[in-house]
Amino acid sequence: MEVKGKEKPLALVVDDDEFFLRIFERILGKFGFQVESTQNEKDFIQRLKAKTPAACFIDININGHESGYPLVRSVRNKFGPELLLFVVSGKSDPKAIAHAIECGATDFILKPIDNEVFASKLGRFFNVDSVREDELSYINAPDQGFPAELTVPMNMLAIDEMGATFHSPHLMPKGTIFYAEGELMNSILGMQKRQMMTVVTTEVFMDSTGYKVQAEFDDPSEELLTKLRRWIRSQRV
Amino acid sequence: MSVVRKEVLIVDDDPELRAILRRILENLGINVCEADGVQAAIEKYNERSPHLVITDLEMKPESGYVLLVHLKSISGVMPVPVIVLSAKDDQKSIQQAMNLGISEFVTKPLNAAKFIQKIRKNIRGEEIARHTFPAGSPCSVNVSLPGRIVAASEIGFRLVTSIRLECQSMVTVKSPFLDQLSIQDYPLKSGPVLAKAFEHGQYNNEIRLAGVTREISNRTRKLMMTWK
Repeated sequence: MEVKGKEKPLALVVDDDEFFLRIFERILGKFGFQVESTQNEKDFIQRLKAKTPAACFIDININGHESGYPLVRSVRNKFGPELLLFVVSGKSDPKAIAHAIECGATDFILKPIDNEVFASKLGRFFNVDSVREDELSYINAPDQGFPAELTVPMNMLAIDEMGATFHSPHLMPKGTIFYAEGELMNSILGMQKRQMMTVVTTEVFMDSTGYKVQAEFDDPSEELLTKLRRWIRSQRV
Repeated sequence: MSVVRKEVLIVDDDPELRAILRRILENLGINVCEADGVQAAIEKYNERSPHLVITDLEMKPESGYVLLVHLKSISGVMPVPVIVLSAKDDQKSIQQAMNLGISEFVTKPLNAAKFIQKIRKNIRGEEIARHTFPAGSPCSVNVSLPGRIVAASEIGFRLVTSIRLECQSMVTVKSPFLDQLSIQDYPLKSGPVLAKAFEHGQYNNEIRLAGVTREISNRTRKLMMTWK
């Protein structure tokens, strides 16, 4: 895989392990990046302010501290959602990975670097050679594939006896059937139960930050409506 | 379009009158709950949260006024329309009830046609209960829907489902595919490119696994070998 473009894109790396830096610089160079690396965070921030890197790579454990997490969070807050911010670490614990993603990391690259996996991850973000020698390709699952259930968080704007209005970052076409669940739903409906709903209208949100989705309850029971009314009226007091 | 059936609470110590009112209301397509006194009415109100209350005034041990005062005390105004049905027709009784915020005062004996008119007027006026979440209040809800994992690579998989995921969003997926690879706990993110339409109005969403270890990569490779 080689990143295409007139000028080589800049990769900015911070890692206190000099030995790893040299290897990583070689790997990134092979993929077509111009690489700048540093072993300390201050220098990293200064370079980030001065240049426009195509991607940043941040080690979690710098000089014995887990300072990579707050660094990722502050860089994400300062430089916005567009910046590609990869965390590079030897920590393979799912919790550590989830924490990095929550802090704002675009993705998590595990040390030691697996060239194929790394190329494949980068390949999703950069215009790469069509041959994509190192990139892993998708293989179709047998038969109809595997059943799955997708869950995404969404903000509820309003709820009434017919249904609810949501602010969704995802496009949910009219007719989509889904389940609404979670602590708020449990407290509204006074029971631990997922409620089936159907999307009746979807429109682009006024500030273009997603969609305003209106959904109705599917066949609500009298018990549900009573609990719902009781909760709604309790909010007025 | 679903229709919300309205619910009315009847409060009267006369079971025969309650039965008559129930028949009238049920014929109008209204759900009915009953109470034979003020304390029972307060309990029923809290339990059922009806759209409308119809109450008598002369009941024992407590009069209907006690119920009116209680309802008004909940939020300072009557929380729902209240129709008083009473044999008392003196101006003082009517005014006292009106001052508490009731919507209608209907005198006994009951004139069914007039009563139905009052019910229709007040139940139509009572909008369906609605709550709008103020900005900043907790309002996050989990939305779950079925899908199918139709393809996989060593860094993720393709999930066909009815919604098109926003790029780079954190998602949760449950599937026997993830169970087989023992990667249920790894964080997942949608891909950097918006999904293309698949078939039957569904979208083929790319989901990436963050932090792929060599072991995971090997397990996935082995599984995919069996698919070829």
